[in-house]
Amino acid sequence: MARMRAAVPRAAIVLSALVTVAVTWALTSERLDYEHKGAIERARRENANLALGFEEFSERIIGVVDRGLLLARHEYLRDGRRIDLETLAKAAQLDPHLITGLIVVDENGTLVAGAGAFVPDNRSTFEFFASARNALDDRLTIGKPRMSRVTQRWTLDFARRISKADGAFGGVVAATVDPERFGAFYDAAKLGASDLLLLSAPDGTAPLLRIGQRSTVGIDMSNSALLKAWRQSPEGHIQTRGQRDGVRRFVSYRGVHGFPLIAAIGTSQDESLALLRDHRRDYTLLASLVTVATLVLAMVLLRSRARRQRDLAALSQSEGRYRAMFDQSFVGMTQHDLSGRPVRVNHALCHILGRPEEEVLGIDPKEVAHPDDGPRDGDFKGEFHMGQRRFLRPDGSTVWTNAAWTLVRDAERKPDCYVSVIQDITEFKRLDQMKNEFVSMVSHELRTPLTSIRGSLGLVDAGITGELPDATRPLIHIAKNNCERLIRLINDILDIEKMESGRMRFDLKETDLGALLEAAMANNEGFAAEHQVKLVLRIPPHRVRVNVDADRLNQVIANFVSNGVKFTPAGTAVEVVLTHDGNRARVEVRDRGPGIPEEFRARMFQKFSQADSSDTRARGGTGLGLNISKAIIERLDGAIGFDTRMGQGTTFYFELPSPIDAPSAAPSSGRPCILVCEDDPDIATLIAMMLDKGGFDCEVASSAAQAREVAAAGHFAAMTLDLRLPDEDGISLMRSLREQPATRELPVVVVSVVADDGRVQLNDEQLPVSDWLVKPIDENRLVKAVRLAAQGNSSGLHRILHVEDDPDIQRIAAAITQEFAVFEFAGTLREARARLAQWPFDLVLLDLKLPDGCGWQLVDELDKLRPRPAIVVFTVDDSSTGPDDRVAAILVKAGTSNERFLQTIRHALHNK
Amino acid sequence: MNKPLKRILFVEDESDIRTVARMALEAVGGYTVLACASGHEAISAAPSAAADLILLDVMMPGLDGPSTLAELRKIPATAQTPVIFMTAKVQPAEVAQYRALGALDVVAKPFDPMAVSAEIERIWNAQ
Repeated sequence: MARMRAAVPRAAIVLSALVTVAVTWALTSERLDYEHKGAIERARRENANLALGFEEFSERIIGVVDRGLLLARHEYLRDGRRIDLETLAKAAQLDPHLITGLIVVDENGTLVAGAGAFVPDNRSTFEFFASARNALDDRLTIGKPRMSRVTQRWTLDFARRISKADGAFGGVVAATVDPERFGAFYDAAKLGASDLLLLSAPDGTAPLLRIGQRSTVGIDMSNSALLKAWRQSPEGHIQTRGQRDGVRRFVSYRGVHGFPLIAAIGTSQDESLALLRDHRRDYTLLASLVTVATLVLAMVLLRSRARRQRDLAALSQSEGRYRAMFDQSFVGMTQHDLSGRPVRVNHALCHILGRPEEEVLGIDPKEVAHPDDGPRDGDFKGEFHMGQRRFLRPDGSTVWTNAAWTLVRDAERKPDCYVSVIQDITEFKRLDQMKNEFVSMVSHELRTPLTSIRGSLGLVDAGITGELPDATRPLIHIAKNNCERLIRLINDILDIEKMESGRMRFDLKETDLGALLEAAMANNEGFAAEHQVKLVLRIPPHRVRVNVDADRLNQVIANFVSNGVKFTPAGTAVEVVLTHDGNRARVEVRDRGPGIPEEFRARMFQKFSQADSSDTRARGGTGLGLNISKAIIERLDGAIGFDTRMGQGTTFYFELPSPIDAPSAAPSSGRPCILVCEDDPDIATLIAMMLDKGGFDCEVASSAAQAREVAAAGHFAAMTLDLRLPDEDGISLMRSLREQPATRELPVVVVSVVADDGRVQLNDEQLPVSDWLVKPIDENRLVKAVRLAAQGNSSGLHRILHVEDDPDIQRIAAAITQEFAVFEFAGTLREARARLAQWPFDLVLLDLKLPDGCGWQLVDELDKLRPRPAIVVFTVDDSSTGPDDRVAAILVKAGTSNERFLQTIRHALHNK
Repeated sequence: MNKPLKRILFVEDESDIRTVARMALEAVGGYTVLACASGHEAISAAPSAAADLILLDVMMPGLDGPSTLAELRKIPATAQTPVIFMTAKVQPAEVAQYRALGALDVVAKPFDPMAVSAEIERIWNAQ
């Protein structure tokens, strides 16, 4: 039985699935959070770097502008009003696109000199002039963006104060700068379309804000989050949402070193976190997949668990049922381990043995076995055993049982245990005993008065007590006959009872059935004579062996014969015919009675089933004979039956197994004898049957040693040889046969599964083999091959084809002429034609009545053959034949003596 | 060749059978028959019977056939006398049992009165 495992609780499966899903999502969330933070950190770092870069970039631009201012101031202080700024700008290679204008004004704001784009008027009202004049030192000032009057573009004014030698205000040197030049960093740093670049003054006026390709100058940023943050800390990061475009950005800012400017770079959150979004999508997908997979797995597990629970329930129910069958069975049952020790017993067995379960389990079976049953050493050693056993109960009584044990194998066919079934038959035995005693007593009690009656009537009838009056004699006859019938009836009933209870003993012995029939005929002759019926027995010339109880078989024969005699008309004969078809003997008893009516045939072998109840009385039978005969024949492994034709007669027959008679001496049938060397008895029988039909007798050797011994006797026409023999291989047997003078010339036909291999093996050796036949055996090929082989061994003899369908007559004819002729046989015209086409024959012995036509049909064809065979007709009845020149002689079967037959054949061969 | 069979000590409890058998043996076989109705009677008669053969029924009240045989064997006059059982109990096992007791053979009941003498003669001669 499959070992059962406890099912996993359903809650555990559900819980595991939920935990798995929860953990998956928690891990995913944590991971995303981590990545989010990382991404922000990365964005800040990158923005900080960019802001630093922008600061440096701005410093460089401011530095360039400042250098121009310092140079101009220096020139002005040296040259005064003669200063030429155009020349200076060119000499100093000031970038005209960056510094769009460069001017110097005196302390009144009056323009002294200029280069680039400028208007030559007073600057005292300009913001830069006021800033520079009011400055405590000459540091660089940067003004608010303003719209240039000349270029109509936004400009930034950079200015430095010019101090006279005494420190008094001496004027201002100023440069106008295109603020969008700072936006070049945006392109250099390859910022994205949504990113931001901002340069702002601390008061919130922004010289430049660039987002994408759009630059804005001069907007007021004083209320922006950035300015607020910068006021808290000069350098840092914030997250903002664009006031105009609504874009969320990470922004890093820092003051431009040494100048009143704030540089800030912002990058779009969406762009910075684009990778994170991809990751978020991937992780979410993965987590979803894990979730779905977990849920599916959980469902599968739950379903499988449900199915498993159903299976377990069914198994448990089934197991319970079998356990109940075992425990509650009325028959005793035990399970033993392989050593035979009982491991489980049921209640019924304990009841049978009269002992409690613990005692039965611990008991040695030998202790409770009845001493008269003898040792049982073979117990629990094979596959199956059955028989009657007696056991001793603790109270000393004996219990009779029918006990059977059988080996139980597991699914892999390995021995697992033994199970035995023990049925209490004590009561049955007691009843059986009672019945036996009753039958014995009845038979005695009935026979005792019958003994007196029969004796008295017999004596009176025989005239011992004096001559009977004529009127009395028939009455005494009637009484005596009926007394005889009653006795037979009692005997038959006892026989049937014994047969049915299996107590009739059969002493089987190998018996010659022909001889047994001859004796039976003699025993029944008197009875037949009373009915003026002749008994005719026909048996084949060879022995037909059967394994029977001769007395019982005699009973059957007597029954058949007495039935036949009773029903056949006076003055006719009952024929008893024995035939043999290779492995079965058949005995037929043919009467010429009225036949059996159709409606009665089905009941022929039943008890008291005579066709007409008046028959029972008229024919003096008991109505039990055929029933007993059937039981006897079936006990002898035979078959029984009848054929009947209304108004023509009935044939009763029985068939019994009968092995092929293998004569130990030289064959007497006259047919060539073939040695069949074959270890498989079935195949040997098959070959022998085929060869028997082909016109040969056979002797079988089942080993190489036996074949060598038998072959040395030297009367074989040929042998068939299996190459695989139990003691030696066929090839070496053949070699040894070739070395012996007696068997050197024996033709061999190899009949083997490995015939082809053998042929290869023998390729170079001079061991003549007539033919090689591969199994399975083709009957025609076998017979032909053996016939050809035997031919080679029978030179000098005449060859006769006997066309005859009765194998017994074939044998007799061949036996009579064996000294000078070899016979071949054909059972039909068709077969005869086939044989004639193969070989020339010296003489054809022709039966006229053949299954497929009249033998005369063949005479014309024989007459045309060259060489022409002599023709002798051998038939039952010559009335249909007239004299014919083509036929050498016509012999009548019943009227021809062996001598005449011999002479006729010799004569016909001689005159050919 | 045995000496000719002349005197038979016949033991049978059924008087009808006794009458019929005696008549058959005497009239057909020509034997001298001393018939006894029980085992005890046979034992009493045995010393003086001078019987050549004892023909013995099996089923008899009181002393049955085999017991009677055992007793007769103790009597010098019949210690060696051949015995044939005449009985209706002729199942193979039973017949084997009688032979084991030393009987020559068994004649089955019911017997044919005209043939029983010949059968006994055959058994007599075959011993």
